[in-house]
Amino acid sequence: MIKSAIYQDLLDAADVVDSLPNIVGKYKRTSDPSIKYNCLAHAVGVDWGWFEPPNHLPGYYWPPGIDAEWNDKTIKEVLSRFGYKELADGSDLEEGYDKIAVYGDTEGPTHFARQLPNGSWSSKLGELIDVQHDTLECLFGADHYGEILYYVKRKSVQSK
Amino acid sequence: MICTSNAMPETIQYGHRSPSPSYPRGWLRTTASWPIGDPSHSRVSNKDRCATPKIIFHIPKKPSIPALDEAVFQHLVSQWRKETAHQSILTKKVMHPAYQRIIGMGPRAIPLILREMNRRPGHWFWALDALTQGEESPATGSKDLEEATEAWLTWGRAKNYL
Repeated sequence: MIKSAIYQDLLDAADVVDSLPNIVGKYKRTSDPSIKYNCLAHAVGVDWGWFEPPNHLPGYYWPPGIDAEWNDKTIKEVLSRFGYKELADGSDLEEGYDKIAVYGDTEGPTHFARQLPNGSWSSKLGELIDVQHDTLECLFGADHYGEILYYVKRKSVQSK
Repeated sequence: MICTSNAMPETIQYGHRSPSPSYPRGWLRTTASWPIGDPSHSRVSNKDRCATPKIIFHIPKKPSIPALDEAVFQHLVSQWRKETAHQSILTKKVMHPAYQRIIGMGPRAIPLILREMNRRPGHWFWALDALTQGEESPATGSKDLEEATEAWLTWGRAKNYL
């Protein structure tokens, strides 16, 4: 049983290395793989839905009242729906605020990382695992998530 | 005792594998002639034993899948996962060339997809929906993707794909 768990860990790690080679050695695994939620959901603190604009397939979630498209405008509306209405200046830890880094490329947002209280970042890697990473740059790259488009913040839930 | 091709002291068994094309049709067997530990084993003299162990393939209970289809499918899955598993946007996943080629395999991809889904859940809903046109999605009403996965697997078992 223990061997099986270790073997599964290795398989999961291999998936991460396959997809995101730049992250090797720069992350800590914090969950099992899951298709129940994606990086956008994880960033806003949701672990019960894969956020995807409505389509003909059941099982995906999209906040009601927002256009059924994945673009910069609709993503900002989704983030705003969860309280992330303010743009932030940078990646520095701001006391009393939760912060999300929005990655993207020329086609729009591609990934979201949530800042942790210690200043590091938490990401859900697609349908793979959740990871904690110290830098945002380890997910940069054309084959990864592009670069940082902007940061958004909200008053920390804990400080309210 | 005369050693024939059907009487071998040891066997190697492979589950759910297709035989090598070099073996003639009808060669498939489902049981070993002399399981290791069989008392009759000790009565066979060395000169009567065949040097090469016989390879016996079990006949799968489910409809067999051509080995080439399986190999092509696994190659495409590997390529697709490598390039899209980290992505969160469904359209980027399902528009990937490897995913589209899997859909292009037609209905024979359905059992392969379901087996892959059973082993490792993924975003196969788009492909299954495309390959089962005309049928209502068994995942209708699912509140999340885990439920949708289970609904498709249940459907696959009912259809004898799994």
